[in-house]
Amino acid sequence: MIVDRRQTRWALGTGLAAAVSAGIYAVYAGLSTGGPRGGSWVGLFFAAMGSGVIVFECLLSWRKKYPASPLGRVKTWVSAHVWLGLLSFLLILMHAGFHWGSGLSAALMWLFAVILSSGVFGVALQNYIPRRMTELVPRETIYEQIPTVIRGLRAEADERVEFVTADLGIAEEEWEAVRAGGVKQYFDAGQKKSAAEKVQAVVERRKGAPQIEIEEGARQALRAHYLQEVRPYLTDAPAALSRRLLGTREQVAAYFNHLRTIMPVAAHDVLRDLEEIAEERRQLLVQRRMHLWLHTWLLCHVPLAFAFLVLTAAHAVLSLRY
Amino acid sequence: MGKEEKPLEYQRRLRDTKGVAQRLDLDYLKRPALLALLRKRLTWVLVAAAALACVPLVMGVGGSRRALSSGPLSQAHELFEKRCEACHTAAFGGVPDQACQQCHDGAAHPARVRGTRHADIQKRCADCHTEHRGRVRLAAVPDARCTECHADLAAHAKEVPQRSAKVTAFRPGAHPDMAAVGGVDTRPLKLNHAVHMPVQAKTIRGMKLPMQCADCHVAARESTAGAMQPVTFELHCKSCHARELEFDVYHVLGADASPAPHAKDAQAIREFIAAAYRQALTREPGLARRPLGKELAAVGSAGAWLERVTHDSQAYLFGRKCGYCHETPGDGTVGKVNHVSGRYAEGAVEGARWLARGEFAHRPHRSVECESCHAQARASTKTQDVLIPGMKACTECHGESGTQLDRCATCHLYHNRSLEKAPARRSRLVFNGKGAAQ
Repeated sequence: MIVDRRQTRWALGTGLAAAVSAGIYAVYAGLSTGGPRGGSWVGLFFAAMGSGVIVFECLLSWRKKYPASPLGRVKTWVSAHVWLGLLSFLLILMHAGFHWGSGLSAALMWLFAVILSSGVFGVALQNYIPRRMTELVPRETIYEQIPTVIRGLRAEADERVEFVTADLGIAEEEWEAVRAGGVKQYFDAGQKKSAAEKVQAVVERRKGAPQIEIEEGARQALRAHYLQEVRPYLTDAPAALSRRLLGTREQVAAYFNHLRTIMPVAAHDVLRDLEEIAEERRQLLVQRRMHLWLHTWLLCHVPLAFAFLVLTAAHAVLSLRY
Repeated sequence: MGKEEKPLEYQRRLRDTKGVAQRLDLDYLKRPALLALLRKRLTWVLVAAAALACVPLVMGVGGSRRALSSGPLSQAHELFEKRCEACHTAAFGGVPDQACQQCHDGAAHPARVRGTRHADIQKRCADCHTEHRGRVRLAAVPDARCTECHADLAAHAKEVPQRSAKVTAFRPGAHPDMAAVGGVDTRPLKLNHAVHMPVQAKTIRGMKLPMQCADCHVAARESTAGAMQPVTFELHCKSCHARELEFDVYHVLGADASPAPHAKDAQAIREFIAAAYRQALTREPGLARRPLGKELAAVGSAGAWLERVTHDSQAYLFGRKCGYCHETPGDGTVGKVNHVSGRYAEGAVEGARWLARGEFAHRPHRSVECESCHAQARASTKTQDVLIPGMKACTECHGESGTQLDRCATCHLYHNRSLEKAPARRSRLVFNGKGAAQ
């Protein structure tokens, strides 16, 4: 949920509800001679209101599971989830008379505080990370596709380097190269047999002999640099050395500038393509890190929220029992 | 590379939308996202753990129900920390009064026995005495519980003394002074504090003055509140005032004669005096032939002598000696004197408390100099002076201090202890050794 002007109504509504609740609480606290108690009628009223909101909060998972449900837009549900969640904590504090309690009550308060904190943290991340990701990761892809894209980048890089070095002698497992050279040449090899045969012929020629003539020393140097430093970076878990060499946009540029300095001009196109591929891989690393930040807090927020719901039910029944 | 073959043309990498789309694995939607899967499984694990954690709470296994407690019990009820059922005898109804009355009589408030409008109000014990608030004194109810009536007592009760009509706090103007202040001590004694505690040090009858308060007013060891022991003649007066019991006006019994008993029964004293002279005459019949006092001739017969010395000695004792301390007409009768532990009260053998509604205890005040509160003691010359300090002496520490010291319950009790039933008539808890109370 992005906190912007569209949230004004929710903020005002929540603020108004909080003010009304605070007013009721102030009158109640002033009139109750024994001090506010969770078991008093007003205390139970706050408990009922707070618990009702908490149940509604948990229903968001159910609402997301059925996106076509006619019960309002998910966006509205998320706004309600955030703002009413804040209100519910206040209601529960009023129920408890602003005491933390002990035993199960204290455990519930701590749980609620953690859930609320993680939720606020999540909202803050949702407002920061997507914008930051747009800036830092222009080549963003679908998160689940990152391994597939990395594999494609690696195959593409191999093809590019083989134009200079011929066959690198690397066998990709269960990977059918459908590209003759770069993402530009796209077609379905399975459906067009003749095209597939053409591709195979091109691949064989490329692997058979260098297609770009440079001196042997430079060729060996490119091969070594690629196999030892660039290619290990194009894996799901890049090697530490490669991470250090290509960790930032500036480092990638500096690394390939250096290669261009020591390589003949004939290899510069290949180097520029390799630089693009390495930069895209670097951005995917940034994307993965940001994605984890954006979603890992839910591993705390959601499971704890449902456990909290169970314990709240137990607290309600057993407290009324005694 | 064959000689006739041209090298493959190197085409720069072109990253367009179609190419990017083509490299995607379109089956990815069929596979669950790792984070979502992990979240789902973690949710079930935690929900199951929470449900399992509730089982011992519901079943009451061990001391698990303590986890349901909203706070620790008061120190007096600490015994029941693991025995919820001792007080929570009924489900979904709070703590019934019967549970409290197993141990506490909870005698009525004095207002109820005066037939006030609120005589029929039946508040539950737990309405005022709120448990699970930690190590607090349950009797120390909030002031608001008291002032909801006492702030305007006339509106809540009949025949309210004007001085007690409006009590809102313990400070001048909001709380009446002690009822004893300005009263009169009607005990028929002639106690003079000023003589016993003169400003100038001196010695009378071998006793060095001034005396200290603690010479007569001693806290009883058995009293947790530090209540003062009654001041008695035998313990506190006799050491200096024993000669006030000497009755042998003619000095015929000798220096080692026993003084008269300090008894309430005048007839017994008369008989004691008569018996003393009879025994003396029996031992030494010649006594009757000696002149008495400064007289020149003897009385005559032994009978006349005996009657004369007995009569004169009784008159001397009752007329001059008893009156040294007691208000008496001189015939041996003295007014009723309670033990000096409180004010005189008809029908009360030991007297009555000066602070009828206050629960004053000397013990918490033992670090305070006596005269800090009883400032007028040293100047008092009459028994009728009531030396109970006024409220001003209390408010230096208790009034508007903003601490627990100012609360009504610090000095007052709601329940009228004089109406409490004997403990033997109340039921008692029996612990069966299995952690449960019956």
